[in-house]
Formats: sequence, C-alpha cells, structure tokens
Amino acid sequence: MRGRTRVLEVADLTVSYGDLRVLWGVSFTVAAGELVALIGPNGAGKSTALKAIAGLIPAEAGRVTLDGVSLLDEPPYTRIRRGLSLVPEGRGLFPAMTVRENLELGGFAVPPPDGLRAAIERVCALFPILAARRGQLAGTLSGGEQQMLAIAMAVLSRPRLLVLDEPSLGLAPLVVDRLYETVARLKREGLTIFLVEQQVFLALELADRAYVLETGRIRQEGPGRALLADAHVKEAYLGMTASSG
Amino acid sequence: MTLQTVIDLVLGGISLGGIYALVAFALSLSLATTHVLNVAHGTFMVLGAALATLLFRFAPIGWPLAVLILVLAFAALGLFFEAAFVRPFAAKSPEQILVGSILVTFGFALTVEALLGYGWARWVDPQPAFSLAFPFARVTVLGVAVSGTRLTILLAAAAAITGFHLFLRRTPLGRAVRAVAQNYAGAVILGVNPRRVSVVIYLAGIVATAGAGVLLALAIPLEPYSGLRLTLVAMTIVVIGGVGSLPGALLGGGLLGMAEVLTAYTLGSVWSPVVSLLVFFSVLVVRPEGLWGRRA
Repeated sequence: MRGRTRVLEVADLTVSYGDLRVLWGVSFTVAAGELVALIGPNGAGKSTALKAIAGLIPAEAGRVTLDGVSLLDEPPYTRIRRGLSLVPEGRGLFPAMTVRENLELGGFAVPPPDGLRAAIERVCALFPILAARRGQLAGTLSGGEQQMLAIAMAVLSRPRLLVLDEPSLGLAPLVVDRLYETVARLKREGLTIFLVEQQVFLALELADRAYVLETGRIRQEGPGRALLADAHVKEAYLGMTASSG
Repeated sequence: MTLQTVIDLVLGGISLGGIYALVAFALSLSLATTHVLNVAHGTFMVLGAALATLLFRFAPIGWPLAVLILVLAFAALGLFFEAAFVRPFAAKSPEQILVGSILVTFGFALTVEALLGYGWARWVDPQPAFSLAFPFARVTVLGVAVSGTRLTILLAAAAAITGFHLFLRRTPLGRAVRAVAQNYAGAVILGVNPRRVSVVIYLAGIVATAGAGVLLALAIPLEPYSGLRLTLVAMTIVVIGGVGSLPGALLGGGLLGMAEVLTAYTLGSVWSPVVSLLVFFSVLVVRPEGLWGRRA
C-alpha cells in the first residue's frame, strides 16, 4: 500500500464508556481505492470504533484523519462534508418517509453538482430495486432492500470513504450474497470502503486488507486472503479447528 | 334546534378543533425532535392572548402591525426558550430529557403564570382576562350567516397548519426535521445539525402556539392560569393522535373541539373537561396506539 494516499488514518484511538475502556489505542489505515475490513467477535469494540470516527461518541485519545484533515474537532454532522459517509448498523434510514425522500436526505449535506433529481436517477440505475419502489415508505421495504437503500443514500454524497457497519446483519444468506455483489461493484468503481463485519469469510474474501479487533485491541492485520488462511482466524471466526483446516 | 344553530355549533367545533390541532402539532413536533415535553406549551397561548390584549388596549394599532409585533416578540421568546430550556438537555438520554424537561418547563409555566396574574392585576386590570374583539362579527357565506370570528379562526388555523405541512414535506430543512424525529443518529450522520432543527422547531412552534392563543382569545376569554389546562388539551390530542402525526392532530383536535362545543351547548361548559377526558379514555380503549399510527 506504500505510495498510495491514505484516505483514513486512525492512530492510537482510545474510547471509554464511563469507567469502562472499550478501545485501547487502536490504529489502522485505509488507502485510496482500498477495501479494508475490520473483523472481530461481538463486543470487541468494532461499532464503537466506527461511532468514534463518525463523532457519535467522543474519543478519549488518539487521532482520526480523513485525507490528512483531523475529524475529531469536527461536530458529527459536518463530517459527511469532509467525505465520510457511514451506513450505521441497523441501517440509518427513515422508516416513515418514502424511498425518494430518504434518497433526497442522502444528498442533504453535499448537494450533487448536477442536481438532486439527476443524482437520484443515477443511484436508482445502480440499485434497480429502489427505482421501482420510489414512492413506497422505507419502513415497508424488506431487510435487503432497506440495506440497499441505506447504501444508496450513503453514496449519494459521493464520499471519499464509505463505511459499512455490519451490512449483512439480519439478512438471509441469499440476500447477503446480492449485497456483497453490490459492495464488490462499488469497490471496482474505485470507491474506498471500510467494512465492519461479523460474516468473516465474506469480508476477508473481498477485502484487500483486514484488521482483527479483539477486546479493544488490534490483534492481527494483513491481506484478506492471508488472514483467511491464518490458523487463529480459522479457529476463532471460521469455525475450523487447526486439524480440520 | 334550528339550522342556524347547527351551523354555528359545527363551525364553533371545527374552529376550536383547528386551534387545538395547531397547538397539539407544535407540541408533538417539539417532543418528537428534541424529546422535550413542554408543559409550558399552553402558557405560550396565554402569553399570546395577553400581549394581543395589551396591544389593542393601549395602542391604537391595526391588525397587521399587531401581528408583526406578536410574531417578532414570540420569535424572540422562542429563541430564548430553546436556548434556556432545551439546549442544556442536548447531551442527555431521551429518558433524562423527558423527565428533566417536565420539571423545568412546569416551573417555567408556574412562574410565568404567577408573574402575569400578579402584574396584570396590579397594573392593568384587577380582574385579569384576555379577550379580543373582531370587527366582522357576522358574515354571509353562500346565503348563510356565519360567525365571522369563527370563520377567521378556522381559516387562520388552517393556513398555519398547511404552512407547517408544506414546510415539512417540501423543503430540505423540513425533511431534516422529520429525519431527526424518526432517526436522530441517522440524521446527524447525513449532515443534519440537530441544533438548527431544534431552533427552527421552537421558533416556529412558539410563534404558532402564541398565534393560536390569540385566535382562541377571539372566541373565549383566557385567564393567566389557563395555560396548564390548555397544555393538557394539547397533550391529550398528541396521545390520541400519535406523536408527530399531522393527520392524528387534526383528527384529535377536531374530536376534542367538537366535543367541547357540543358539551357547552347541551350540558354547560363546566362539563367540557369531563367530556374531553371521556373522549380521551374512549380512544385509548378502542385504539391504544392512537388514531393515527404513522409518525412525522
């Protein structure tokens, strides 16, 4: 990854909830055009790291920069203007609004140069399911469609970095496959993506690089394929014992 | 009962319902976006009626200038209220905000009402009452004589409600308001500044509520201590109509307005609160989720 510009740089990030320290000096980077995955068990602090990057919870110590500009001094609602677009766990959409209104909110902070209408047409071409359901309330969509909508809203602001928090959560395997095809296509189109996922196999297969977060510390890092072959990862996350792998 | 009486009663009911719907919708928008339950909501109606009464009593001004002064005064009061009683809660959890805001706004309401009652009795009139006269007492529409006051109340309330509706549906800022009400963190991530939403909601909401108080004073005299009763009416409508729901507020407001007017006509206005409570409980028994489930 040397030589490529770093889009996201997180260094020594420390976060606590009251007296309980959740992240202990976590560091990772995402370079332009890369898809980097963050994997780890429940309660390792993955979502906490994302919330701190998005500014939804305060960081106790450390640095978070996007394209070299520090994010930690910015209020959470201006970070999307810096190019950070987060699809939160459980989808960040608005159930009592139509699909179209949700998409319009996707362009709220960063108005598309060619107008909101044209931008919505563009993402609808990318996500054909949404085009047919534009007038429908978002809360009435299926889980997979809601996740597609959440991603469509997030890419409407043409982010420098797209952050996905557990996109496969609660979805049927077939739907997850379709979702990952979409993520793979966004990656091919050059989008820089940071993916937090518990479906470790899917994430590592797609990721250029990945970090393993355990009890608030980065335990391992490396290319996605290399981690797939790693004994610890196999045993802890892929349900394979050393002998059977 | 003559046709004229029926027309008067219906117009009376729906015009009162329009006022109630407007007030209840303003209350439920602030609850849905900031989790603040504003017990002083009805007090702003009383303040609106009081300031309008004062203006017409001591200054020979017409309605346009009076409306301008009222809007400016209550816009300023709305900004103050947001900064003093809403912003300090911003970092707290929704449950903490709800309980804390009830205490703080209840105290605000009691203080304002006591000061208003005392000040008015001392400097203006020993028997404080806020009521306004309207120049067009009776007008003829399609050959039927109707109360010009009631018609004006209905049209003004309808215009204000339509304004709220168009703002929420058609403007980016209005969509941002609804987004905050439906998913706070999701809206912040998309770049919505919740402070800005809160300022807009309290500014517009308190101006509209004070305006509703002026409209109510055209029909019924208000007293310094009417505020808490009016807050209760608004809360009842929010509960039976659903938090953040405009159709629910219209339906609930119309229901309570009609019930109040019909009760006053048949049993006497002393019974109005009892009948309002009966309507409240009946709706809760039949539809515990409220008349209109959908939000914002």
